[in-house]
Amino acid sequence: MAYPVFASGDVLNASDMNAVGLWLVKTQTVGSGVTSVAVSSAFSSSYDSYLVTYSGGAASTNPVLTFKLGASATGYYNSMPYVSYAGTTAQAVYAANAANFNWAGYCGPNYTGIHAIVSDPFLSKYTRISAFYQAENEAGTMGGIHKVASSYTDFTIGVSAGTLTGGTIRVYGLRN
Amino acid sequence: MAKRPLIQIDDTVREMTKAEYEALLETGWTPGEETPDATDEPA
Repeated sequence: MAYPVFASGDVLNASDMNAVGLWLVKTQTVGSGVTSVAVSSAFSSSYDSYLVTYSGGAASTNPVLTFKLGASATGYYNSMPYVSYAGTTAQAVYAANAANFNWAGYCGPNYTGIHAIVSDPFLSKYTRISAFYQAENEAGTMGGIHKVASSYTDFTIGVSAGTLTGGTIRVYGLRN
Repeated sequence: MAKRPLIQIDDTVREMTKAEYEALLETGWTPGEETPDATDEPA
């Protein structure tokens, strides 16, 4: 077998399957007109790091998307440099000891966008996040750390304003 | 009395409890009526 190119009828050898780097572990369809979506059983001992995406939905306005671990509502530190598509001067936002990660993504009437790497949420260590922020008028890359050394299996995506309708949240485990 | 916003937990969508709604408002959340020319500064 010429891994990673598989042919019809190939035997799925353990050595090949164990080399698959990204595994879809959770899919959650978003309902209509909700202000937040809690996703359970997303993180486990199987993976240290995860890719979380949210696409295909729509928002009632133009809010930022927030990200919270379990029920923890403190200890989130995050910042983000960003640049307007029409300007050359970088700006920045930041928050210390916030109630959630503030800039995990962005959405509007025509899209929802989260592309975030979440590291060590299941381990009883500080969880870190790196996410792309693609607004309609500017873009940035945020980073953050949750300074609570606890284990989490669940997360919640929220909005700063308005509501979300539709789309799919996907969680991929990055093979250890 | 206006209904409180909806939240989703896995596949279940329900109206927020009063406590949940108060917690949401404390985050600065607003109903956010759509405005076509809305600025999207990440404040």
